[in-house]
Amino acid sequence: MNDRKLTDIRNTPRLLSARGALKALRSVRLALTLLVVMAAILIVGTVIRNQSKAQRYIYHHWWFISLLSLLCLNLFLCVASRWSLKLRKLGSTSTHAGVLVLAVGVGIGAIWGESGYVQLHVGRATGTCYDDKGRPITLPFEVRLDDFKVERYAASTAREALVVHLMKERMTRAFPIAVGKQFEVPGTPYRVAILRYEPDFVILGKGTYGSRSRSPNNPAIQVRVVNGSQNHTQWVFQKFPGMHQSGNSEIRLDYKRMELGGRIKDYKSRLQVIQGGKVVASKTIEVNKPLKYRGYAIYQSSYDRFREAWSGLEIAKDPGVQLVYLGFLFISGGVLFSFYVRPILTGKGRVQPSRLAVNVETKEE
Amino acid sequence: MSATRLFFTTAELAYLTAALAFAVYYGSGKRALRMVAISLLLVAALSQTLFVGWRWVEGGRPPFANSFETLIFFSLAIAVTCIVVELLYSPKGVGAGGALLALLALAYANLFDWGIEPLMPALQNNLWLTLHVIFCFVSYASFAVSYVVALIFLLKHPGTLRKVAAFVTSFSVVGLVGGLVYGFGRKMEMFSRLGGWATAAVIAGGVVAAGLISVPLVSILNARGVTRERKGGVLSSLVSKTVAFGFPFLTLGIITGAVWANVAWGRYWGWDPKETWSLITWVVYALFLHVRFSGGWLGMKAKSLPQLQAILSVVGFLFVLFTYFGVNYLLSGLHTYAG
Repeated sequence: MNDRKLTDIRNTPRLLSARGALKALRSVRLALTLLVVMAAILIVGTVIRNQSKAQRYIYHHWWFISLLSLLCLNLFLCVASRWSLKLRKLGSTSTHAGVLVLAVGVGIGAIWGESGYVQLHVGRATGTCYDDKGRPITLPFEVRLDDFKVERYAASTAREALVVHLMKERMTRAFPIAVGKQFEVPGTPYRVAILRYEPDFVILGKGTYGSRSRSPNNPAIQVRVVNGSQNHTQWVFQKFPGMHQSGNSEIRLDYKRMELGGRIKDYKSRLQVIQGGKVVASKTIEVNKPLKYRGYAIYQSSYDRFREAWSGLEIAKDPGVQLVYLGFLFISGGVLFSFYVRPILTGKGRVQPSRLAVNVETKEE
Repeated sequence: MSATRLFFTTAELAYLTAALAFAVYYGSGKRALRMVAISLLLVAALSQTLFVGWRWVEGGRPPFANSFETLIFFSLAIAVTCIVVELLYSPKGVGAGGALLALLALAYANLFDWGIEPLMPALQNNLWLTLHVIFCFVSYASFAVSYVVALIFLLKHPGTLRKVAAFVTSFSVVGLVGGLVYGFGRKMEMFSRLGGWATAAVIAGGVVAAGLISVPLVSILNARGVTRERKGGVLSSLVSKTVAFGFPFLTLGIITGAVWANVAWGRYWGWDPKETWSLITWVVYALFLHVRFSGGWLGMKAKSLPQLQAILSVVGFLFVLFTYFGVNYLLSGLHTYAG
């Protein structure tokens, strides 16, 4: 009776299915299925307009992370069952192992990493930043903002502009409304001069114009466009952009309310890191140039666009980032070796009609 | 005429005449015409290289910061890939298709402002900007050529696949040329003057016109024997080769983008729509490279795998186009400056 039971257990479909499950888990078929499913989910994720919702319900949700983990397990079993340091498989092994190293790095970062944001006014210090759900993160040091400045490409403050579109040159340039001034359009033979400004344009009589009032109810400017020996004069209206355009199809003038010269060149924060009452690090940070201190990095993230009173800092610690970079290195080396180096070494660089393709062609002809 | 305008116009004319020379060569079989066409592609590529170099010096920064500049580089990369493919494998139809794609990229570039704008703070890293954009667009160009080869490969198969390929070819021509017509209409502010119904009529007219161009194009390809390549397997193999060439560049493009994001923002991946779509595109091409190991999957016969790879190449390039353009205009994210 007992013997019969043992035999039954050995031959149960459960054991067979466990072996089958392992086989399925390390199959390329599962990898391809998971990749297709993952691509479909990612497409859905990008369609969601509110990206923070997409992060919460898809990318950072347990079911999506489980799917990624299953893909990693599948990849691990694939690599473990097929790995080889032979020339033929070296690139493939390196690429797939790189993805696994990358995944481990991402996992370490997700578990032990920290990332938060804080807004600091000049002269203030803080030892706390806040994650994307608004939860406080206590830092092992204080960050003090000594100075903050925004650099711009040009210092003009004009808010109204004459906008010149040169159709042939496919160029648009804006100039401040300065009556009596002439501007050259750089790189072209054109010059524009603003002759008159009327805040509330009205036709007084034949060929005479003026303003109905001093209020800017119908602002208009009279502009002369000079191109070598040719020139013409026209009125340009802020509220009626298409009106009275000249017959010249190469140039179009617009009178717009806009910010001029306000384009941001850079924004910089002079920071001090204070630990135990002492300044342990200091640096003027800007985008692309963070301050690094004991595993933490402080990035210039944003700033107060209205009053330029505060600086927005991203403070991150990611103990997995070195592994992530190592993964990148393995992947890059692997794909380069597989697709560029190996074909040269094995002499498979030239197009060889594949057997499969030849079958198709032969049948066709 | 300024120097950059001269280089640009030269490239446009050279692509157009190269495409015509290739078309006449496919019809007549005169090999001298093929060499003329390749030389014209070289002239176009050289003009564009000068354009890029000139702009780099003039702007004092790498000219890869917006749609106008990347389209120019994309067009140049397509031309170079086409020249290499033509010289090594001389497959019929690819030269003309590639020249037309490169020309189309330049035509799209015309929709954007030529002015050299200063870089926004996040882009002010010449090393990563240059590496990231060059890697991405070399891969896109390779996938573009693969797409042309795949369509020609599919067009030569009898039955459903040929019909699907003919439809995709027509769809591509309608989409790309129709989009261009629409873009120029918007740029010239035609639509705001026309009103709702007239705008719809113009857009519909553009689409129909592009459709009318595509039907004879497919017929010519069939009638002139372009789609009846006698060298068995060269096309299917070339689909794989061009994807295999582009895939490492796409990988490096995504990786350099991730490293740059970590340097600038403190995170290497943020599920930004552009990042996510580049990953989706990478997955599609990874599938392309893996399907050959999955014999019998979905009951597919081994001889059908080249067709499946060709279909994946076509789908992959449509994903590339969406990653490049679609994301900029339809989805918001950190890469909106690329528009």
